Parts: sequence; C-alpha cells; structure tokens
Amino acid sequence: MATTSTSENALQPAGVACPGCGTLVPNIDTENSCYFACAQCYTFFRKKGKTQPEIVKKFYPSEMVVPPIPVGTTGTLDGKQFTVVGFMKKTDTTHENRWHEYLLYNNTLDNYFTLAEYKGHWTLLWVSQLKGIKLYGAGSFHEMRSFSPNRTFRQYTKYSFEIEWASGEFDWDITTDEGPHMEVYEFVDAPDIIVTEEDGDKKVCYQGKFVDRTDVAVGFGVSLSSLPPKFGAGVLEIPKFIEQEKPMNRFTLLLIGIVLLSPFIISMFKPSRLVFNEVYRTTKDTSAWSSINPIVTPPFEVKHSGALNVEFVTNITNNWIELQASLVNDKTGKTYEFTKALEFYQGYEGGESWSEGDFESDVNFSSVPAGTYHINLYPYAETSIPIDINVRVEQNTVLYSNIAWMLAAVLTLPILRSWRKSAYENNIF
Amino acid sequence: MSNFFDGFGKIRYYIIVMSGLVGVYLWASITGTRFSGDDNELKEEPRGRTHAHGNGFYHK
Repeated sequence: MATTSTSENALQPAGVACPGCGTLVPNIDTENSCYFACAQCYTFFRKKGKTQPEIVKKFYPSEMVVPPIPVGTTGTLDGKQFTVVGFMKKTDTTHENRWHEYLLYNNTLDNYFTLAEYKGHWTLLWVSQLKGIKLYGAGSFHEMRSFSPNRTFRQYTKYSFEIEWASGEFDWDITTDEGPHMEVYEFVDAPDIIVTEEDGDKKVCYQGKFVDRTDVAVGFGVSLSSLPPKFGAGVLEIPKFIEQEKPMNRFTLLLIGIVLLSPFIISMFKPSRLVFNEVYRTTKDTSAWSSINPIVTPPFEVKHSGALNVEFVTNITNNWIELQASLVNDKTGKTYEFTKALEFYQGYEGGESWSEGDFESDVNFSSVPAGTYHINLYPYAETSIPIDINVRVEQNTVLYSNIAWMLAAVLTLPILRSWRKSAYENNIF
Repeated sequence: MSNFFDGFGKIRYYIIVMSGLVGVYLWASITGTRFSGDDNELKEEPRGRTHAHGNGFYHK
C-alpha cells in the first residue's frame, strides 16, 4: 500500500548527453543502465561506460505526452521506495490499445518494477519469483493457467507491441521487445495478474497487482487530477459490490429461509382455524323484482385477533352472482364491507372444452380483533335458479401477499446488483 | 473452510436494514397485519351482467 512520497535516500542522478540533441538524460542506476531515451528529440541510444553513445533508434511519437510522474520522481508504493527511471508509451499491435509504463527502480532491492497505466487503471508488475506455474492448453485465447496451489488465472489477452516513444534509462534494449516475435500473455485473477513474455524459447514471467489510483498519486506526491482519469472498469479492480456479492447472497438465502419458514413457525403458536363453515341456498325474494333474499349467518367466535379470511364457494355454471357482504362485530358494531362478483362459464367448442372465470372467491381482513361476528350477505343474480353458497371463515389465515412483498424486498438489491455486475463485466478494460 | 458468516461485516448496513424489515414482517405475521391493507371496499362487477342496475350494486 502506498504511503507518502519522500525524498529521503533519493538517488542523485548523473547525466548522459543525448547524441541527437545534447540534452542531458538523467542516469540514476549508473551501474546497470546502458540504454537511454531522450525526452527532447526521442533518440534512443546505447552508452556503456566510457564508450561513445551509439544511436539505436529514433522514435516518432504520434502525440506528445508529458508523463504525470516525471522521470526522476521518488515515491513509495506497496511499501517500497521507488525512483522513476524510465517511461514508455506502448501500442498493442493486435488490438490498437495504448498504455503507459513507468520503470521503477528500487535501490534497496537493486531491482526493477513496472508501473503500468491503461485508461486510468494502474498495475504494479515485477519479475515473478513464484514457483510451480502450470500451463494448461496452448495458443487459444481461452486457455487457462494456474499456479500455486489455489489460484487460477484466466487468460485475458494476448498481444505483441510497439514502443511509440520512451524517455529515461533502461538496463536492456527495449526495442528488441518490439514486434510480433514477442508474444505477451496476460492472465487475470483480480486483483492479481500474471504476464508472460514469450520470445521463442525464452520466457519471462511477471507477477502484478492492482494499484489504486489514489495510492499512486499519494505515493509519488502528484495531484490526483494530474493522473489520467479512470475510464470504465479495470480488469484487476474488484469493486465493492463484487466483494459484497458472496456474503450478500448468503444473507439473502438466510432471509428467504426465514420468510418462507415463518408461517410454519408462527402457525405452531397461532394455528389457522376454521371458525365458520355453512352452506346456504339462495331463495327468490317475491317482494322485489329479480332479487334474492339476504342471508344472515349465525354468530361465530373469533378467538384471537389477527388476519381473517372469508371465502365463498358457489355452484354457479354459465352464470354469475354478485355477493355484497358485511362482516359485523356483534359487540362493537364495526363492519367490514366487501363485494365479490363470481362468474363461471364453460362449454365445448371446436372439439375442445373450455372454461372461464371462477365459482369461488375470498377476501382477507387485516388485524381483526377477537370477538363475536356474523355476516350479512346480499346476493344478486339475474337467474331464478337457486345457487348454493358455502361461506367459510378462517382465523389466523396465512397472509401470502405479505410473503410476496417480503420476498420482493429481499430479492430487489441482489437482482439490481446482478444487473450492475453484468454491466460492469461488459465494461471491463 | 469458509464460514457462512464470512464477509458479513462488509454488508453490515444492509444487514441492519434488512433485519429491521424482516422484524416488521414477523410482527405483521404474528399480529395478522396485511401490508397491502384489507380487501374491504372492493367493488367488482361480473362481465356477464346484462344490464345496469341502479348504481351497479344491489342493496337491500
């Protein structure tokens, strides 16, 4: 993890004069660096010991980029102190992607690290000391490789590259890496990465890890705004919502279990009970045109306050009936009014039987106090045929609508996160 | 071996909110309170009805 930038133990750069323009190119690792790139005229040259500089190549950059972390900057990243000794802008010749690489020198370890930046996403890479890397398959884009022992890295990309331009110093001829002879494979298991550079029989393996953009800015003492802005999602970055995915899925399963089991557990203490169950046959009211005598049930006892379900089951066929009803508390006079319309049609047409509608219906009442109740029923139908109406009242009925609401609430965030994850994975660079 | 509760600290605020919601649900289940209210005042009319009848409903 990055801490703060420091100039303690900063290496004092010597300089090597560019054979192209005479500009002094800093030389920090005087013992190992023998290749230099001039940031003024883009000349890449070799200079070893007291020999005369020898121009290797001249870069022709398509655009001038001032590295936000200049060569010579010292800083701390991942608990190590580094000095930026080189900078390269590379182009993936296969996919036309462009990225920047900072060569970091650690004086204590006398070792080089690479800090790569692509579309605002940062990766710290170093030569791998890992043992037991295993290769599975070869050549195809989807092959997988894994290493010691619990990690599996999926191949993310394969490419060759060109160097558009460079500045600073290097301990090898960076131009020999250019071209199709060098195949680079990247294997990802976020937040870590393994990169292999394969040139014929020669293979070099690098290990790397995601570095937060803020840690880079703080570690090298540059402003966050000076670093390239983040674009999309980095392949090595694990967003919080993905870190939270597994515990959230487990917690959601726990909640679903509670919601689904709760009716059974609660029914042990407050079991559902049929408190009224009678069948009535409608009779024509001779005093009124086309109407049916009202039905008044005898009183029945609701022993516990809670949900109450009133159900009507009729024997209508190719007919309809309208039931206006009142559930009346005999003591308080409180009335629960409702109207249900039942219609049921069936027939045989075109060689097939059909039916439509329903001959039964029910209503639920919430938090009905305990007490004595009766039901006033006012049926209405256009037929004079008697209709049987089974009136059933159940107390402590299970409120399935509550279960549905609760399941919807429990599943909302996991579903939204699933969509977000899908969008994130489609936007990974 | 991973524990069922591994990582629950990362979603502690979600756990607090959802636990409260489940608590409300259990209270509603025990008291028989329906989130969507009563079915009373429900007015329905069968499609098979052939003519209008006053305000649409029969009253004794």
